This record gives sequence, structure tokens and C-alpha cells, in this order.
Amino acid sequence: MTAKEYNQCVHEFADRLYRFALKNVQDSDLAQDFVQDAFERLWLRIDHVDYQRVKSYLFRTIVNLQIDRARRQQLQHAHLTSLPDPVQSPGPAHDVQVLINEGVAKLTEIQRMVLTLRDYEGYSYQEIAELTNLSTDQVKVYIFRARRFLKQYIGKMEVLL
Amino acid sequence: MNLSEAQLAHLVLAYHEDQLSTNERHLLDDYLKAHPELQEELTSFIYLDHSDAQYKGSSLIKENLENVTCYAEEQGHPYEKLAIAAQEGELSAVEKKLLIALETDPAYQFIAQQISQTVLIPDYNMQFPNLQRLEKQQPVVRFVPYLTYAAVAVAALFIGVLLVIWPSSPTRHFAQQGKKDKNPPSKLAQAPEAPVVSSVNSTHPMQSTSHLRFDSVSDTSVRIISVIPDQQGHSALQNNSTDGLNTLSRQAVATTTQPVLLHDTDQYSMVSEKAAAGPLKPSSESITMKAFLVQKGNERLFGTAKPSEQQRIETITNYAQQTIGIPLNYSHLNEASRERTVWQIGPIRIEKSSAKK
Repeated sequence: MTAKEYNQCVHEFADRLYRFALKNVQDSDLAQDFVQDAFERLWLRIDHVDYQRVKSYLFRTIVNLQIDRARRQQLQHAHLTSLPDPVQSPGPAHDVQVLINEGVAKLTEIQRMVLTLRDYEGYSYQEIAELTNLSTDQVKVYIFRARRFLKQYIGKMEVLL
Repeated sequence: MNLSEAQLAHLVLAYHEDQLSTNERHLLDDYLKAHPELQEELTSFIYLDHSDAQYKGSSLIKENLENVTCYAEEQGHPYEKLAIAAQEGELSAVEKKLLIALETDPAYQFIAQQISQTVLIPDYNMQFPNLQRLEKQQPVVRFVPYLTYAAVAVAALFIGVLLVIWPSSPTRHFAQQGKKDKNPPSKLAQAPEAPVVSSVNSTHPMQSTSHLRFDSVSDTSVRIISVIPDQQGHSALQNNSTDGLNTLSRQAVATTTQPVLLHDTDQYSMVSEKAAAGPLKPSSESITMKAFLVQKGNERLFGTAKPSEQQRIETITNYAQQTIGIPLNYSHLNEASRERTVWQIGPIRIEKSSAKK
């Protein structure tokens, strides 16, 4: 891959990677760091990455960064997971998308990841499995559970409202 | 008259259920007189009509529930599974038929609507800030001037040395001749009496007055088919005429018709012997760079690595004559007690004499 193709990738994928990362980590600075890190890794391996597969490479890098971060967080904040979820009551103004975003934030890391890859990027189960090192059946189940959770979350919030 | 909220609620409920006692009715009438705004609210109370509360869907048909096989191992209502499978495009043929039957089922439609809302929609206004910082430039190979200059200098030096060595090296010429000698007998060797005359066109001062060409006659001798200016040539020059040189050239060509064996010229006899002996082999003697350059310079200027004093003066005279364009005469007189060298440039006469040691 040439430097020109690399810059084309920046313009084509940076925003999509940023949205994907931001949706998962819920932190703008961290999402920017992930995107920048992904492109730095791509630049270092520019001679080894095929231009046709660069999208998969970038998303896989972001996924791996998120998984690493999640593992670190689990180690650092293990005691916090036993605490009850502080967000139980709805906010002041809610439409469906706001509720969905809240519900997505409550998904597990891997569920959120496969769901965003599915909905944001339109990846197939097979492609998501390759990106996340999961089996196709696992991806299918994770997506089912994520949607069911979101559906229940929406229903519960609408009843409360 | 004041009534508590609980008392008012009890009176209103009893009114609608027609269970007011006489006292309670009086209380309620007095209260409505004091608060006439509640009269309308009391009379417009909504009564539920149970006549239209009937089930119209097929949600609870057992056959429909049993036909859902997707996500079989997961928890959840079959309609949730159907709706999610429909959303994901994972329905089987049987489930697709079932889905058609459920299109009018409000229970399924409600669940399907909620499932459709779980699809995440990317916010395209969310963009990576400062995209330029991610861009990279192709690494540029910097131009280092001194490296180029050094490369040019080395190339020039190499070419210069090559020019010094290559064109005027008699060694190479004879080396090639030696190689030819190893070949099968040539026509020339078969007919040694027939001289081969070749013209040498060169602006070299040395070659302009001494046209030389060596041809191998046999394995042991070298034949000169041009001539070196001899005493006649010097005398012609001393006649202070440019025609002398032309005369000399004509004489030289005429003289070449007869082979002349070279015996008394050191350099050529040495070289001819080497040529006769075969190809020259590189000497194993060490030589300094300075000596090497002097040797090659001499070969270039004077035609020999170790020119005699007479050869030096003669060559320099020829150089000067061609440079200034004026006939320049030169004579070297070897007397008993001294040596005299005389240059004659037109009317100017320069004489250099030195006593013999």
C-alpha cells in the first residue's frame, strides 16, 4: 500500500472508526486515541497490509484495543461490578434513540462491539467472527441477546414514563 | 364546608356507584355548591365499556409457538425470537410462512416494532476531529550534495586515469599483439616480406612527427613500417621551414616500404622483446601512486615511461611549435666537453649549454 492509498484510507475510514470506537468506549478522547493508534499501526505495516483488506485491519485493531482496555478495566475495577447499577431512573427527556443509547451503554463489552459492527458497518456474522475471534454462533447469540436486552430496556423505560 | 381529599374521593366513588346515603348526598351537594367547578368533572366521569375488549390476534396459538426454532437455546418469547430473526434475516422457510400469518397479530407487531427500534443508527455528525493529523507523507530521500560531488569526483578521477592509461599504453598494444601471435599463423606471418602500411591520424605532438606502427613479422622480431624522425628530420627542421616536416613525412612513408629492424632504441626494443615473448603479465613489483602517475604521464606525453633528456626536449619543442603556430627549430649538439641545446624561434635564438660531468 502506498502513502497515497493510506491517506485515502484515513479519509474513508477515520470517521467510521471513530463512531464505532466512541459508541463502544463512550469516551471521545479514548476513541480518538484508538483511531490514531490504529492508523499508526497501519502506517508501520504499510508494506504488509493489502489495500483491499485495510478496512478489516483497522476495525480489528480497534476491536483488539477495546478488548485490551476492557480487560484492564476488569482488573482495575473488579470491585465496582458488584455495586448496583446507579442508573435506574430515566433522564429528563427521552426519545427512543436516547433510550437505545442508554441501553447500549448497559450492554456487555462484547455484545456492544458485535452489535455496532453489525449495525454501523453492516458486517455479516462471518466477518464479525473474524474480526473479534469469535465463532459465528457466538456472534449470532451475542447479537440476539443484545437486541432482546435493548427491547426489554425500551419497554421498561416506556412503561415508567 | 371543607372536605378532606379522602372524604371527597369516597363521596365521588359512592356517587358513581349509586351508594350515597342521605347524609352523604347532602354533604356532596353542599360541597358542589361551594365548588361549582367540580360539577362538570363529576358528571363527565369516564365509564369503561368492556364490550370491545376481545382478543383478535393469534399470539397464543400453540402451533405458532412451536414452529419457532430460531434461537432455540436462548431464553425469550417465541415472538421475540421471530422478530429478531426477521430483523437479522435468519428466518427459516417455515418461520417465514409463520411470519406472514402473524402480520395481523398486534402482539407480534408490537414486539417487532420494539425490535426494529434496537437497530443502531450511526450519527454521521460525529466525525473524527482534525483528520489531517492522521495523514502521512511519503518518506523523501534527501539530496545530499557532498555525496554527489564525491561521486562525480571519483568518476572524473577514474575517467582521467583511464584516459591516461588506456589510449597511449604501448603495453596493452603489444599485449594484444602477443595474443594475436598465439592465434594460428596469419597472412602476415605467412608473407613476411609484404609490409603493411597504415596511417596514423593523430594530433599528438609526438605522433605528428614520429608515425610509428609495429607489426609482428615473426615471433622474434618487430618491423617498423613508419619512421621516427632521424637526423634528416632534424636537419629539415633546422632549415627553418614548415615544409621540412612535410618532406619528412613523405620520406617517412617512402622509407616504410622497406622493413627496418629495431635494435638500438631502448624502449621499443624492450617492448618488442616483450611482445615477441607473448602477452605481458602484470608486474608484481610494488609501485607508489606518485611513481605510477609520473610513469603514466610520461607515457602520455613522451610515449615512454622513462624518456631521455633529448626526447623530453624534442617533444616539448613540438608542443610549443603547435601551440604558438610559429616554426620552432631545435638542435642538440653533443660536443666533447659540453652539451648544447639551441632553440630558434624566428629571429630569437635560445641556447642552453652544460658541461659534461
